[in-house]
Amino acid sequence: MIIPFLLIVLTLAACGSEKQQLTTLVFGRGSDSVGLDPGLETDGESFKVCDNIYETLVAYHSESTAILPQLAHSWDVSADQLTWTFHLRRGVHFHDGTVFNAEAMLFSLGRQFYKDHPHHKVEGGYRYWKDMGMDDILAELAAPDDSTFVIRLKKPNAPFLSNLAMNFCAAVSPTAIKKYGRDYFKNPVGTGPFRFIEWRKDERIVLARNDNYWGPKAKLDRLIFKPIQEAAIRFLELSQGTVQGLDNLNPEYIDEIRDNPELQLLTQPGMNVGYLAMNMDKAPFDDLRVRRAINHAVNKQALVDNFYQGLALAAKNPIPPTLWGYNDKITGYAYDPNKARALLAEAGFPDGFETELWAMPVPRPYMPQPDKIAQAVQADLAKIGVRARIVQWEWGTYLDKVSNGEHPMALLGWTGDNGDPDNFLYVLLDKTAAVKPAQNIAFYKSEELHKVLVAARISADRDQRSKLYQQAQEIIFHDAPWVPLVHATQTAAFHRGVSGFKLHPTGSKWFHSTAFTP
Amino acid sequence: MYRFVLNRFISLVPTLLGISFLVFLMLYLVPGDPAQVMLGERANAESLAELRATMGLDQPFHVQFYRFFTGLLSGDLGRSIRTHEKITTEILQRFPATFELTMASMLMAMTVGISAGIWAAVRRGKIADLLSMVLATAGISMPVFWLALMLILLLGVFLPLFPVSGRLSTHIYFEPITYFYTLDALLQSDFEAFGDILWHLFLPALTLGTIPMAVIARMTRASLLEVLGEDYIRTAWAKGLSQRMVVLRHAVKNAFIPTLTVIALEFGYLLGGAIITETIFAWPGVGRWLFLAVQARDFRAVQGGVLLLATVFVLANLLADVLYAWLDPRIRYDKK
Repeated sequence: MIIPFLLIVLTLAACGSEKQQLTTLVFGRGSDSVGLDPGLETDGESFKVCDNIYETLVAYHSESTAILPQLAHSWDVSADQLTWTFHLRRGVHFHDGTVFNAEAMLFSLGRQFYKDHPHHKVEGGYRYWKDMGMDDILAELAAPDDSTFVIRLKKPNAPFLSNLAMNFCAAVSPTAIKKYGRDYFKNPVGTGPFRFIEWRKDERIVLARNDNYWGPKAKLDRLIFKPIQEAAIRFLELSQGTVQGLDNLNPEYIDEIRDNPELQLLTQPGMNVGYLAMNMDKAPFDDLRVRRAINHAVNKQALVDNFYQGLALAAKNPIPPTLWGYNDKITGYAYDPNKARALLAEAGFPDGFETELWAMPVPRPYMPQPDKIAQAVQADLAKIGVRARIVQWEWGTYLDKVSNGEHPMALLGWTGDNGDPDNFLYVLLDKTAAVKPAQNIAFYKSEELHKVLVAARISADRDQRSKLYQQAQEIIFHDAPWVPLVHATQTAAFHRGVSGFKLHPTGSKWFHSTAFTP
Repeated sequence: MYRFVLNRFISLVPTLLGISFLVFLMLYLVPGDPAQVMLGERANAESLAELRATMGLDQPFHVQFYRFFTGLLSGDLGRSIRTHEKITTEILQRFPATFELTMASMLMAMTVGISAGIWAAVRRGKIADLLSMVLATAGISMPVFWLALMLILLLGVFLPLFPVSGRLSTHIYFEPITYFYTLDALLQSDFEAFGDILWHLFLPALTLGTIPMAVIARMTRASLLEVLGEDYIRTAWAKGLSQRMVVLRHAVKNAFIPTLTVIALEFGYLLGGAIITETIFAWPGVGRWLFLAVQARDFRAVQGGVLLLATVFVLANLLADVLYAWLDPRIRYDKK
């Protein structure tokens, strides 16, 4: 039975394999996209595809989070910093043939902003729009003529321009949204270098080059995203050549990729941080000496070597070094158990104390093995006499409890959104974020830091902002609300013949310059 | 006979009602707020409240159950929280993948399993019997993930004859109509696609079919041996019939009843339990989808998915009952 079946199958399969093929790049990944409406999605696997279909008013530089023109060729800011006027590129069309203009931009952002917009009500809401605080930043949107788009703000806000470069602010075809309604998420229409062809759930998403693209056209005919959940199979397909690119590689395959002349490895420090927060509302973590002692007790380099196979950077600041405004002058708390013990004794705990160390129950991009990290930190703390019991909850419960401050110490992390330091420091450490349910789970309330972060928020001068953020990092270093642990590295691997792909700090995956070179 | 089938169908209704209530209750009681899981690190008071409200999670139990139940009666399972898609659409697109895989593996399992079982029974105590039963025991004891990886290593890497993931090569395009790809390809007379689909089907089907194959072989052997010892078989031998006639005409039909139970049960299990195989071979079926839904606390998808699998399982059992009645007139209960 099996042998004749085998013969038939192999013969049939052989028939088709000699066909002329398009230049197609198959990109393997761990799971499928959730949806392709940039306003609705929140996960990386969805944005990876959206990155290539959609465009925004302004875009990131291909290698940094500096802001460049895209659908707007230029913009002016009023003297009071409240009115931003964007001059739009002409001759840009959506993939469905309709014209991109200021009305379309008004529709794309307006559906998320205006509560009475006919397309405002969606299940779950426009989450990124809300998370980035756009409702509090914007006052009004306007399209005075076809090529002018105006955004008025409630108060000056510098990080706002970086928000406009994010996927959720992309231009979507109003015609397509009206046509597909709630099913737009699987019929996406943008202005980008690739257009959508088909999506077979959990199987593949196929994009084709947009031949009417306004800028330099993509070099690939087809771009296919293929979800393969098993890391071993993903890697096997890359080695066999049925997949030409992968991201988020398992550390165990890194050496093999380096040794294989047919493959190339790309790495870059990721825009994320994994940290240990100490709840300053609870004793003994209200004592600065205790928090510093814990900082000296944790051997971060050992965490990087043992649980990330070197694919991470030991952290000394809450923001990663890929972000502008990073303060490299800060020395960080060196691993020094003796100093830690001395600090504890000084704080009145010569024999240490008992506490709890909370750990996430699920792997996160910034911390793939949280339970093992927790055990390592527990062992480090035991060396200075701090006896920490590891506590785990189901993921939703965990987040709920830590945001309500039930933990003494908890592991958590953050992946940056818009490439602005504000998106780390204000969101995670400002006193306004320490209100329950809090994102500032150290419950760190510094008036001094708040002033600096607010000043950095309203300034439009990038150099001045950069200085303010460096100052903010010094304040945080001094007060030590966290043990900043690691910044996980982002990785990708391609076949030797693939060129022109660059990793981006935001994790975006743009394929418009990617090509096969013989 | 018809009344028997009808009665069995009617008894499905309370079973499925009970299942739907239990599924709903379990998901309601399970810890972990779906809104919190979805929002992750980004959750704040406002976004949590809004998400809970749009998902109807802020309503009391009886209101939530009423909504679910009335939706169910009108055939509307709602939209998945995780993927924005209609649950019915999700199931209609993925179930065919699982069904096709199950059919292929059961086909392999039955053909090989029944033949091996008969062969072993007829050659009882000889090398052939021993060999096939050793293989069958090995087949039952093998963990599926290990078998899958070994088959991939053997037939995908050392002897690269078969693709190791997916349902279709990336260069093949055709319009899915029913999402039963083999059927769709044939309907469009696309034989290149048809070959490619079978080629992709082989390894996962073999993986999934191995355990049922072994179970069926052992069951067939055991029940055939029992039947071969009965009086009427001795009579058949005494009449001077050939071995072929005795075994295939007289013994196999009676020996087949217990085997059929096993086949029906395995079929039901495979339709719902192929998560590991589907995950390893990146097979876009219903098992993997359900697994992801559970992880994301996508309660609507889980309710719909579990209800579907329960229905399929119950139907497979019903089919087995009907087949018994057909094979063995003594089982037609209504005549008692």
